[in-house]
Amino acid sequence: MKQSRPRRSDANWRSRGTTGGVGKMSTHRFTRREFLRRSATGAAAASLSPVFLSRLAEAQGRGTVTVGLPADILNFDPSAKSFVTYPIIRQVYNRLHDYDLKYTPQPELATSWKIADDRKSVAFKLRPGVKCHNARTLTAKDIVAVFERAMDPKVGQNLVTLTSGQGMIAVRAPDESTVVFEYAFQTPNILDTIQEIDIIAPEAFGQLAQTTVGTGPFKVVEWIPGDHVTLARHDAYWKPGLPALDRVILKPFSNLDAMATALQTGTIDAGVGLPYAQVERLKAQKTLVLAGDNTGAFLNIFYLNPQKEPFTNKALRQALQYALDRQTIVRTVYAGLADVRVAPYPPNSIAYNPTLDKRYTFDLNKAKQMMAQAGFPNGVKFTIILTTAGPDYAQIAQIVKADLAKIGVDMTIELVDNARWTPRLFAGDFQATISFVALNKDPLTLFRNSPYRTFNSPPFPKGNFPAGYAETINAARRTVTKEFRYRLFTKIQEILLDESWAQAISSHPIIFGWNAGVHGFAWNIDVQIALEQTRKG
Amino acid sequence: MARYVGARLLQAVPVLFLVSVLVFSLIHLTPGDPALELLGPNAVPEQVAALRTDLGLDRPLPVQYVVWMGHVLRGDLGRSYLNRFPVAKLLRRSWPVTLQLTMGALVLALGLAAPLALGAVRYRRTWADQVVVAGLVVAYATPTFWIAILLVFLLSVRLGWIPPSGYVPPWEAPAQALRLLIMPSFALGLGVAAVLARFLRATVLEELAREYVRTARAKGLAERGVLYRHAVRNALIPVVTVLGLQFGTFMGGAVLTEAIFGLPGIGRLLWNAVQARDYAVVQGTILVTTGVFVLINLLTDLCYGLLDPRIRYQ
Repeated sequence: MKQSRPRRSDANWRSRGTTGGVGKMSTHRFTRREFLRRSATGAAAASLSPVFLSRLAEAQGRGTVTVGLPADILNFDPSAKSFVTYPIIRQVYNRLHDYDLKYTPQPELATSWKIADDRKSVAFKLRPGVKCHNARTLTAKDIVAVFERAMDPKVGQNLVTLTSGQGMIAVRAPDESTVVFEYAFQTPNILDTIQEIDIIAPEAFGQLAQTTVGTGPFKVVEWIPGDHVTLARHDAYWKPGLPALDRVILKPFSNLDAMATALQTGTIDAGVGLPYAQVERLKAQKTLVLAGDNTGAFLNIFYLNPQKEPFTNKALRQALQYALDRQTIVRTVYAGLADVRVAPYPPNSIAYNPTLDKRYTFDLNKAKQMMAQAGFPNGVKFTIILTTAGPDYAQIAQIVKADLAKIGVDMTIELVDNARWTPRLFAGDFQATISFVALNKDPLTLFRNSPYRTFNSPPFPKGNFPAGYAETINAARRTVTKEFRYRLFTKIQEILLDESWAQAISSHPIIFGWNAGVHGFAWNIDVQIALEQTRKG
Repeated sequence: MARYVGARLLQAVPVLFLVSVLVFSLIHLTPGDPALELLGPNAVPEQVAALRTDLGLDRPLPVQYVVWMGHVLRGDLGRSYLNRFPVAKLLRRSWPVTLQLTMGALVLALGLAAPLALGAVRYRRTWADQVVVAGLVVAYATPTFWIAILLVFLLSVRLGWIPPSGYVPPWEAPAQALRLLIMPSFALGLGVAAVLARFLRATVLEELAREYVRTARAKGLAERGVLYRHAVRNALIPVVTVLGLQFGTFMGGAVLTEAIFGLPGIGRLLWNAVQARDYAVVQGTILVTTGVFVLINLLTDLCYGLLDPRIRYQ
């Protein structure tokens, strides 16, 4: 790890202090001339000290922003697509292109691209002269190396699903400024498969556990696990005049309420993933700006395991759809910052169909009637497992439990830590749970999530999907016509609503907060904070 | 004395071995998988298997233990599964933080306990004594996290005197470091102060009822001299024992205190590691903490000799 700037404990600082001769000065009588000479030398030395220069730069320049995070980053490797690593991504890396919040692709390391008519390949023209954090110029071969790593099952981790899992079969650089991606089949979401891959300088592949080299607006200076990550301005950043800050400090909090208090008292300048329970309190403070992410990127689901009793019964699953009071959940758990969802896709999705959102409404009488029809006239018992990592799930479960009790359903809530919850979810060892899934960008994104995917499916481990489900998804994967895709996604959503193993509840907003003196605090379509335009004052 | 210390240190070897086996077994038997924790619920089995192999988790447990112990005996505590940092490096960074916190709490505990206990003794069986005793019961019964929340609300949110969280090494900014240490030290030290004060009060009162105190008074020694030169000194041995045992309380309390006040110490390191099933960090942290606990107990025993010259170490 590199040090951000010399500290008082550094050898350089100590040696400067001792060679300054404090001891000698106290026993030596100076002539006026000697005093002036020594004073001038001392002032010059002081003015050249890194601490002085750093303070001067700070006084002249753009300052530092400290951002609170809900968890420490794991490493600098974006391959796991881990949420805890998200805050670092847009600060240190660029992509060939990134989407704006309206899902319009914007050039980044590529200046333009051309998708082949058969949608089986795409060629990107690279931006010339992009400098990595180690001052080396980024090349087309670097891009190829990054994507080959992403496709390698041994090291690509969750990127394999995004690349070769989406049909990407080859990446090549026909010349110094062009990279071509080839696919096994016609790919409607071809730009999505490129967008999520962050460009790392290949020489950093072996160091990603502790540091990295990217091309982004900031470079890694220091990481003290459990305490902070310090990022410094990348002076050779390819966007002129950016970033607007000298330094970013990312500070993890293991207690979210402590993060909210730190924001409230100005100890940190901004916070990511603020606790929902503190929203009203923080809103009351006029010096703070509070916002939900508004991307609709995440969806909360009430996930009933169709392989486990009693939820092998489809009519029972449908009955519980009527017992979900989504409005109350949004109002009380998410302080009104979430949107109610019945069908999974949000209004900004090309798959959104407003009629589907009316399929189930909160109606306990109807739920009770349907339960009786399903063969449970005297109610039913089941256990819901919840991860302690999401305190909002426990609140949702309490609301659901209270409503279900009114129709004779006894739902036991079992709280487990995330390390126990994930393997149980993965193995399908649960009756019910509440979780959230990602579904931004192309509607196909939804089917990368384990409750919905058609490979290694926990709810359908033997591939015994509901009739038409897997076939329609596969058809949507091969179809590019917008209208036809809309019809296919409508059909998929109808199957999802009918089968009701993954019941949409609401969007899962990420709450951001920042002091009013901080400007340009932003995030991208994947809800990753982007601080290149952030400034203070 | 050197032989005594040597023998005590030798006795620590089987203790540490047993602790290593126990911790290794318990953390591996606890449900959870570091590979899945890293990859998340949307991973596919092949990726999970590849990562488990990479982390060495696909080997039989006894083999994993022997490999780990072999590294420990060579001074290598392994690497974190999550961030791949050497565990020794993580501990070197975290221990000074927890040490500052526990020292702060200790100073505060002693600073509160001694005057309160001796004041209560001096004014025993008066309303002042009763108020102190009742206050100590309340202080002992109040959970650390509650005290922490109250302190943050009062001193940070309402009055704005002290930042609610954060850590600065004292060699970088001593004044700021001290400010940031006040609330966590108070939150952690208050319960221990209550225990110590109650214990000190009781043992001093016990000493004051002994024959030698009556003799001292009969010889005309002032009450102040009787209390401080004789009774308190003799009452200190059991108090030092209790103080040594309170190290465990400090370590347990540090987990919560460090989480609330954002201190990157051992407690927070251990909490995060347990949550994420970061086996290497959990094993290394508990092994080292046990070693420190053994050393503190040894130091406690050595203190007896300083307090009572009749004690000899054999």
